[in-house]
Order: sequence, then C-alpha cells, then structure tokens
Amino acid sequence: MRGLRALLWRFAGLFGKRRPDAELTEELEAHLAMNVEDNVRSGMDPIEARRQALVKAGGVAQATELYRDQSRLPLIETLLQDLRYGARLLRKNPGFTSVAILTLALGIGANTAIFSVVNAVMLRPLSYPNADRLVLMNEFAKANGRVNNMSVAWLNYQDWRRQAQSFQYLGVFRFQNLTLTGTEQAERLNGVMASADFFNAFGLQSLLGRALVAKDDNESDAPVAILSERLWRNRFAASPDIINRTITLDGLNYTVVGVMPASMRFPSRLTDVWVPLGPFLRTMPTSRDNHPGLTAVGLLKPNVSVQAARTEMETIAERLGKQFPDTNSTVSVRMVTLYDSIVSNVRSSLLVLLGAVVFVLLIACVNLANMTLARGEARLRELAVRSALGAPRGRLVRQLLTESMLLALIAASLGVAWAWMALKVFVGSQPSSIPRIDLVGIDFPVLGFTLLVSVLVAVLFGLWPALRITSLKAQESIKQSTPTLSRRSGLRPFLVVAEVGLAMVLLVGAVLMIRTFSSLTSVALGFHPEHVVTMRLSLPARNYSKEQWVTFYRNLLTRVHALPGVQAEGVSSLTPLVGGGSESGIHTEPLPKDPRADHGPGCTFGAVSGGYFEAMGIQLVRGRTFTEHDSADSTPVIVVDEAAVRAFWPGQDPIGRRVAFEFRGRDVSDPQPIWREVIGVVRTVRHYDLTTPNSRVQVYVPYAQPPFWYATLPPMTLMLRTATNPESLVNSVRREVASIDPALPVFSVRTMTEYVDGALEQPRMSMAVMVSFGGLALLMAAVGIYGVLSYSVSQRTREIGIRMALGASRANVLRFIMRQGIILSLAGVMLGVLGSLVSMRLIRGLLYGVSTTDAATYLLVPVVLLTVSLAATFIPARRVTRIDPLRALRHE
Amino acid sequence: MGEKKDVWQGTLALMVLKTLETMGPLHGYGIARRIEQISGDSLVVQYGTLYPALLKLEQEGYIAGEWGASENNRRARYYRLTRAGRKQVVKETREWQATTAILARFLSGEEPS
Repeated sequence: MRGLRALLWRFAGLFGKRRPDAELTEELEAHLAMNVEDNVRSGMDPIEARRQALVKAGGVAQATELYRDQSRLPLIETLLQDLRYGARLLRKNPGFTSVAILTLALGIGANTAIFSVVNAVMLRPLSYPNADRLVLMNEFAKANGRVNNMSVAWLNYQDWRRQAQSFQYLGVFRFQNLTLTGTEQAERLNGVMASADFFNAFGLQSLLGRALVAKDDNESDAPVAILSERLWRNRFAASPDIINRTITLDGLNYTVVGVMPASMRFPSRLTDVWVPLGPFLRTMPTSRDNHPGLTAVGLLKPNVSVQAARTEMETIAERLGKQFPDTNSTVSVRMVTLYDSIVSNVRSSLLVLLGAVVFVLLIACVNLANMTLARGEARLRELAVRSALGAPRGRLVRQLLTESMLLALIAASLGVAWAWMALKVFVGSQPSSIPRIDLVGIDFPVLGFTLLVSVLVAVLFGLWPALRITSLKAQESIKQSTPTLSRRSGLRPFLVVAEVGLAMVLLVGAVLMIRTFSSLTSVALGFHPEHVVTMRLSLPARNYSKEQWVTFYRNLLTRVHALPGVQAEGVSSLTPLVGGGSESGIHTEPLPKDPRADHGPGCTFGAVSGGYFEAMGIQLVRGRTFTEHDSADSTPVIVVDEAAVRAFWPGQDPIGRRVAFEFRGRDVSDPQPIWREVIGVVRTVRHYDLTTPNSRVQVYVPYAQPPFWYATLPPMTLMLRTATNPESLVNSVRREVASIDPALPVFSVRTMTEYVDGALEQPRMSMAVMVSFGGLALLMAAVGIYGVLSYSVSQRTREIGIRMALGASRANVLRFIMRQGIILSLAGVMLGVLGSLVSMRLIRGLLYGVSTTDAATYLLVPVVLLTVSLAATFIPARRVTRIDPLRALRHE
Repeated sequence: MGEKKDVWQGTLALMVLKTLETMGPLHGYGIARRIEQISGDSLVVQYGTLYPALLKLEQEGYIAGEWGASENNRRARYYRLTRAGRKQVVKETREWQATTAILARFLSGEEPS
C-alpha cells in the first residue's frame, strides 16, 4: 500500500508540479544558511563557516538530480521525452508518416477484422455450461461403397438410451416447423421438437418458467411449449404473463411453460419455439427402416472422451445390426462434437483468410522496415552526434523503438476504426453461411489481439533497423562526407525479394479464387433462376385429407395463373439448391430378387405439378410433362432426368418404359413395386449445392399421384416465373392463399436468384477478401521496390555522374538501374512460385474447377507482378537519366 | 540511485523517524544535525542522501512537511511524524533490534543455549 501511494505521488509528479525544484532549492538554501549561522556562532569567521558548511552539504546538483529521480518516474519520463521527440519527427516528415501509417493501418485493420470473425466464430466458447462435452449423433448406411447419411431411427434411439453408458443425458430433437394461429396473422415458426434430456444436456437456466422435463416426453392431451427469448419479445411484447398462456400451433393448443434465454441458440439462433415429444409420440415410426429426421444430442459424462463414447456407440450399432439384420446391418453412428458441427464448414476458409492477412501484415512490416532503415540512414549523423555526446546505444535503440511503437499504435487505432467499419458492412450483409456471425464484433479479446499485433509489428519493423543504425559501423561512417551504412545497403534487397514473393503468393491465391468463382457461376444449374420467386406452404394434415390437399393446390395454381405478370407457375416438394424431396432406391424391369438390399443407383424424388418445369426453366428433352389428366385414377407416371436415362437405357428411348421406387409390401420378402411409366425426360438439376454433382438420379411424379412413401403430405413450394420484378407478385399470392384458407401462412419467400447467391456466398466472400488482399500486396510490393531503388539511385548519384562523365550514355545508365530492379523482382517471383506451390495446397478445399497448380495462373501472376515492378523501377531509373554529370560530381 | 545507498537509506529512514519522534517537528538541517550529534559526528548527512530520503518518507506517508518559520525567523520546511509514521517507528525499531541482536550473537560466536 505504501509503495502504491508513493508510486501515485511520483506519477503525479510527471504531470503536476507538486514539489518544484525551486522549492528544494529554497529548502537547501535554508539548510546551508542555518549551518553557516551555527558555524559562525561556534566561532568561525564567515568565509570559513560557509566553506565548511558547503563541504559538509555535498554536491547540490547531484542532490537535485537524486531528488528529481525520487520525485518522478525517470523511466517514464524518458519515454515521454522519446514520444515527444518521435511525434515531432513524424510531424516533420508527413510523407513518410502518412505512407507508413496507412500501410500499417491497412495491415493491422485487416488482421483485426479477420481475427474478430475468427474469434467470434471459432474461439469464443459456446454459451452452454458443458459445451465441450456436448455431442451430436446421426446414423449413416454404407452400401455398395456409397455412404448415405440418415437421421436416427426412433427405435434405435430408444436402444441407445437403454444401452449407452457414456452419457449423462442423451436427448433427441428434430426441426418441426409449426404454424402459429389465433394471432392477427398466421405465422410460420421455426419450431423444434425436443426431449427433456435435450434441455438437460444443454443445461441452460430458463429465463422464465421452466424448460422441458421428463413428464413432457409422455403422450399428453395438454402439450406444453417453450418460447425463445426472441419470439417472446417480438410476438408477445416480453410480457411476463406469458407463462400458462395458451397458443395454437398447427391447430393444436399448447400451454407456454417457459422462455429460454437468448443464449439458447440450438439448433439455431432463429429457433422460435421448442415443443415436447409428447404430441408427436404417436407419429414416431415403429420401423427401424424409417429415419424420421431425428438427431440425438448427448452430454458426455465428465471423464468420458469423445473417442470412447464414439467407440461405444459404434459397438451398440454393430450389436443392433446383428439383432435386426434386415434394417440395421449396414447402419452405423456418426458422432461429432457440437463445436465441430458449428464451425467445421467455415474453419478452412477462415484459416486461409487469417493466413492471407498475416501475409499482408508481413509485407507491410517489410516495407516499413525498409522505410525506417532509409530514414534512419538520413539520421545517422544526428544519432552519431548523440552517441558522441554520451548517449549509450541502448538509449538510442530505445528511442528508435519508441518511434516505431508510436507509429504502430497510431496505425492500430486507425486500423481498428477501419476494421469496425468493414465489419459493420460485413455483418450487416448477414452472410447466412457463417455461423455465429451475429456475435462478431470488436471486443476486448480482439483489441488485445490488435495491441499484441501492433507491438509485434513495431518490434519487427523497428528493432532490426534500430540495431543496424546504431551499430558501431554506422557510427564510424559519420566520418565520411555522406554517411551510409554500406554501399550495397546489406539486406535491403532481400527484403524486397521477400516482399515480391509474399505478394506473389497472395496474388496466386486471389486468381485461383477468381477462377473458382467463375467456374461456380458457370456451373450448369439445369434451371434458370432469373425472375423466379418461390414461397412455401404447409397444409396441416389434421385439416387436409389427401384429396383436399390435391384440390387445394389445383385451386391455388388456377388462381395464381390468372394473376397478371405470371408467365408460368408450379408447385413442388423439392427446390433446386435447397434440397427437400426424398430419397429411395429405384429399379427398372425386371425387378432384382431382393430390391431392398440392392438399392440400384438411388433416386431423389419429388411431387410436382406439370408447370414446375416451365416455371423453373428446366428444359424438357423428350416426351411430355404432367397434365391435369395425370390424376389419382390414371396410370401412375413419372418424369426422369437425363442421368436416369444414362443409367438405365443408354442410347435407347426411355418413353414408355417402367420404373419403380415405391414398394407397397409389408417387408423385404414381399416387395410389391408400384410401377410408373416414363412419360418425359428433363435436364439434370443441381439439387443440393453448386459444387456437389448429384449422386442419385432425379425423378418427378405428379402431385396428384404423390409417392407412396409420403406418410404425411409434404410442405410444397410454389414457384412463379414472372415477366418483371417477381417480388411484386408476392402480396397478390398471399391474398389468393388467404381467400382459400385464411389460417395458412405463406413463408420462406425468396427468389431463386437469392438461393443461387446464397450458394455462392462463401466463395464470393473468399474471392473478395483474397482479391483485395492480393491487390494490397501488389501495391505494397510496388511501393517497396520503388522505395529501395530510388534510395539506391540517390545514394549513387555521384557514381552515376562519374560513369556519365566518362562516357556512359543515358541508355546505358537506364539499363543499369533497370537491371537491378528486374533482378530483384525476378528473384521475388521465383520465391513466390515456390511459396505458392507449397501454400496453395492448403486452400485446395476452397477451390472448384481449377487446380492448385493451374498453369495459366502461374503465368499470369508473374507477368502482372513483373509489369508492376518494372513500372516501379522505371520512375527512379528515369530520374537518373536526368542527372547532370557536373552537378552530380559536386553532389555531396 | 546506486545500491550502496539503499542500505544506508534504510537505516537513515529509521534515524529520521526516531529523530522526529524524539524532537517533534523539525527542519532538514535540524534532522541532519541531530543525527550527526547522536552519532558522535561519525556520520555525515549530505543533501544528496537526506532530501531524497525525506521525500521518499513523505511519499510513503510516514512524515508530512510544511513550510514554517525557524528560530531565526527564516523560512524552512518542517517535517512531522504522521500517525502511520509513529507506528512505523515502533515496527522498524523492533525489527532493527531483532536484526542487531541476531548479528551480535553471530559476531560474538555464542552458541544458542
């Protein structure tokens, strides 16, 4: 405490004048005077008395110095002095200062921005008490070398719960979108069906009321619901009376028993409502063959590793496979940690971006080290004089470092501001492909990172020049008329080579990203996304029989057809690039002996109206599409894609052939196929995403003849192709829907272009970031080359003058200087090629349609780099040719 | 601030505090004289040791200084012991006595009984 008090006092002494030197002087004078008086009193003559007193007192100057040290903090004082001096120097060289600060600010800002994303997405811990012990599980089947991911079969989950020892809690959930009615407008909610152990595993305290508990898992006539904080705020005005209120979801009354806090972000931060298993228990399939969209969530026991739990689950799956060979023999369990399930999609992109910004920062450092060195040489004389006056080397190095630190910190604050703006735009654009994007921001860890980076940067670009400038050799050089470090300026050219090399790596990355993006945009989608708007509808099974379902859509299509501006309209249970639809094995005649074991190529099937193909712009290659005559009573028909024709009837006419993907029979021994007649062939459509070719063939059946597999009739997507802006039609469609069934919400209204853009979002972002970083690197490398060469030219003015006086032509001299630049850039390019070959392997996963050693890229980038560096060389070289030999010789 | 003096300053601080405890408020010259007299003139207290030490004690809050008039009506800065300073005298005296006792035993070569 005493020490702290003294420290504060001394710190105050830095700024205030608590005990000015004048006061000490007065005190000392009084001391002296009293001593003299005493001496005189004891009989000395005044002169001797004064002399004795002075001898006894010791040195006044030394005392004052010691006193001053005690009254302030000398270390900080010199720091402030250095800072003041540094700031004055920076102000005096506005050119150097602004270039240096801008370069660094760009580098630090880019690092701050990318790090804040990495921090929010990957580093920030998940908001659940035992997040590191949470795992997700689904099932998958291996058959004929293909892996088919599936959800968890209800009965398998029951067996897991009984047998598995690794879990403290083992819950289950599935997405269960629900329609909220009874409020002014029907609304589609992002619902989740979850078991009590789902909530136990996450372990979050409810904001109001309670979470789901064990009794909610039982079938009940009075089901309950848990609201998300978001829904509670937006829809129920954060009313505390929400508990025990009744809400209507899909026509069923639920009692609200709790509100979960905003930190409950699973399975999505957009989840509106969680409902218990109870109301759905009756619909859970009793066949292990049926995987009803469930995912299991487990909280591992505290000392069980993920690997151990995984092994246990695989053993259980194997056991079930032996027990139920018909359904489970090829089925196993896949377990991922919650953390991995969230970040695995973006991890590699983010790490590549982080690598790229580090490169940018390195280039910035190289440039600055170069500039500092050049500037330092101009200051050699000043430093030598100070050294001669007794400043120790450490003191000089400290001053130079303080100056770099000052630069770095100014640049850091500018960089943070810049990153803040960039992030605002980026987060504002709501990229849906990045998880936890809403958490991205500049917080204390990010600021800490920035501070650390700036200190590192200051040391990187400041320490080496500082050591070099204050070296003995440099001090010696002051004796020359023009002080220099050495004629060839040592390592400087190597810095330029490194810089060009780094820039090359970034540029290669950028070009590969551009090529990836352009291959992605030219992927044959199989449909035309322009001017198509889609919206979803879900008819509650409780109000609509199969016939009513068909009638509803026929009715809707007729009404929509009459709307002005609609060119084509269709409904479909699947949407390209979004997925949906279902999968099954598919067979042609004759049927194999055991069609369930031999799945054939597998198909994605969907129920569509005839207008779907026209509305989506899916080209009909052969035959016809569905008409209203393809009804429940007519011959079952099917439209297949070109891949199916290649798989089943290569080189033959498929029209009129029969295929089956539905089996009516009770079990494997009794397949009873439903044969459908092929009436048309359409182009293959990218179903899941842009980069994954379909592994299955695609087939379509009329919605009036829905697939036998559908237990309940699926939600449908209405597609409209319009002449103009498709969004304008949405309200008219809403009115038409409401006039048929006012309790039916229209949801997920999006244009197909938005879906395509969504699929391109991550590659577009990677490309944009890499291109801007590559451009930045190119610019910095050009500045670096220019800086080094113009410095070297100015240092060699006299030498060049002599050469010219001795008869060298301007062209000779120009060539001489240019050669220097070209050699540096060429060496840099070589280094860059090597660096790219090594580092591009890391981004292989992000590329599509272009190889990491793409020859065109490796030709183009060096050409661009060499051109730019030649331009950067040419400016100082041209200055040389303007040298007047006579003046150059007189040049000091 | 060399290291030699730190030891000296440690003892000086106690001497200053003890002086102020015995004599009451006193100016720097008075303190120096008192220490020199008590030591039988075997110690010389110079500006360079006394005033930084006084400042340090003041910063630590053991003494407080203010300007006043001396016997001869001269303006001088008077130091007095604060309450924390009084406690500190007791504490340091005890510590110092313990130290010297140990050292004395050590130097006399007595075995502990």
